Amino acid sequence: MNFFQNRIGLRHAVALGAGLVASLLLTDSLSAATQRADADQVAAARQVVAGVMDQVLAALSDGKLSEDQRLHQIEAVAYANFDFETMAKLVLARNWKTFSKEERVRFVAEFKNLLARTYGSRLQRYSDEGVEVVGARGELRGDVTVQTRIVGGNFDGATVDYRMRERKAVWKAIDAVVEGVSLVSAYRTQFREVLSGGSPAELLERMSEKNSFSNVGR
Amino acid sequence: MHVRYGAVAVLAILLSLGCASAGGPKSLDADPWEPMNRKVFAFNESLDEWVIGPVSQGWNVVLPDGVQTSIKNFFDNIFMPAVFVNHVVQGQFKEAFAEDLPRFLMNTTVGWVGLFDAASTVDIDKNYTDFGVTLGRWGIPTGPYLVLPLLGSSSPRNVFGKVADAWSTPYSLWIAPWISVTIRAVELVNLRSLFSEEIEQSREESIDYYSFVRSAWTQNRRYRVLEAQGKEASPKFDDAQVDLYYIDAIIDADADETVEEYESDSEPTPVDEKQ
Repeated sequence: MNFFQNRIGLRHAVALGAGLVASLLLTDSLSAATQRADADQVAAARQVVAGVMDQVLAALSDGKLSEDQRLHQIEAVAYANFDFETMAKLVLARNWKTFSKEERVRFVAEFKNLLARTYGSRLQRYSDEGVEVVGARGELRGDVTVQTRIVGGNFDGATVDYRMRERKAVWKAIDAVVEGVSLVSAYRTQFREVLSGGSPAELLERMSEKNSFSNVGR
Repeated sequence: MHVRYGAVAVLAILLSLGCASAGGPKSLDADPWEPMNRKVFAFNESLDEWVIGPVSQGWNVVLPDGVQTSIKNFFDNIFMPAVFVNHVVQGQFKEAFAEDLPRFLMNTTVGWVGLFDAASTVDIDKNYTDFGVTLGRWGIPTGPYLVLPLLGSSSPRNVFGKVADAWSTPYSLWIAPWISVTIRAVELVNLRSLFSEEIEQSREESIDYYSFVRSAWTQNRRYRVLEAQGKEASPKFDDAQVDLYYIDAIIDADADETVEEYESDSEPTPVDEKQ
C-alpha cells in the first residue's frame, strides 16, 4: 500500500513537474509574445523607414519625372513597403470572417489600390516639403513605431508615425498615423459602417467604383 | 450680451445631454446623435458644394499661394496667445515659454504682425492646442460627437472650449459682430482654398465620408489630449474599443487557417497589377 501510494505520489510529482515545465515554457513564449521590440528591432525598423523616406524624397525632387511618373514611382514605393495583407485583415477585423475566400482576395486587391493611390497622390503634392525621422520606439509583440515629421509647407510640423511589423524577415508598415489619426482605424470605422448595412459584395462593389472612378481622373 | 447668455444656455443644455449619454456603453464610437449629425453634415456638404467651395476657388484664382499662406500665418499667429495660455494651464511650460511665447513675439515683430513665419526659420516649433484640449487634459469627458452647422465636427466639450478660446483672441468677442463674422469667413475661405486638394481627395477616397470625418476628428482630438497629458500617444484601439493591431483573438482559429492558406496563394497578387 505504502509502495502504491508512493508510486502515485511519484506519478503526481512527475505530472506536476511536467506541468510546471510546460507552463514555464508557455508563459515564456507568452511573455515573448507580449514583449516590446528590443533595441535591435527598433533600429532595424527605423532604418527601413529612413530608407523609404529617402526613396520618396528622391522621387519628389527628381525634376525629370512627369507628374504621372512621379505618382507611379511613389505608388511603387508604397506597394513595396506596406504589408497590405495584414492591413486588409486589420481593417476588416471581425468582418474578415464574413468574407469568402474569393471576396478576401478581391478585398486585398481593391484595398491595395485604394491605399497606394491615397498615399501616392498625397505625397506627390508635397514637393516643397521634407520629411525627417525623429524617433522610434518598441511596441508590444515586436512592433515598432517610427516617428516622422513633415518640414516646411502647409503641413509644417505634422507628425506621421509608421507602425512597422516584421513578417518573413521583412519590415513593412501596417499603419500610418497622421497627427494621431490612424489610417487602419479610420478605414475600419468606415468598413464597419458599410458592412453593418450591407454585404461584403456590396462593399467590394463600392470600392471598385471608387478605384475605377479615380483612375479616370488620371 | 443677450446673444452671449443664449450661447451659454445652449452650451449648458449640450453639456447636460453629453453627461446624460456618457453613462452609456463606453465605446468611443458612440454617436448617439448620428441621425441629426448626418443631416447637419449633409447640409454642410451642400453648403460647401454650392457656396464655400466655389468662393474659395475664386479666392484661389485671385490670390497667389504666398498671399494665402501669409493670411494663414496671420491667423495662426493671432491664436498664439491662446495656445500659450492653454499650455500654461495644461502645465506644458516648455512649450509655452520656450516655443509659443518667443514664436508669437518674433512673428508679431520681425514677421510683420504675423504675416511671415519668421520663427520657423530659426527652428522654433509651431504648436497647436486649445481650451477643449485643456479641459480634456484635466479629465473632462468630451461628450458625444456633434456636427455643427458651418463649423463642422465638434463635441460639447469642444464647443465650450471654442467659446473660451475666443475670449483670448483679440477679435471675435471684443469687436462688432459683423466684423468678427467677416474675419472668420475670410479665415475659413482661405483655409478651404489652401487645403482644397486634401479635402476633395478625402471626400473622393472615403467609402463613407461621414464616418471617415468623425473617426479622423475623434482620433485627432484624443491624440491632442494624450499629448497634453504627456502620455505615449500611439493609438491602441479603434472607435469600438477593439484592439487595432492584434486581432488574432477575434478572427477564430478556423479563419486563421484560411488566411494562411490564402496568403500563400495570393502572394503573386492575382488581380490588378496592370497599372
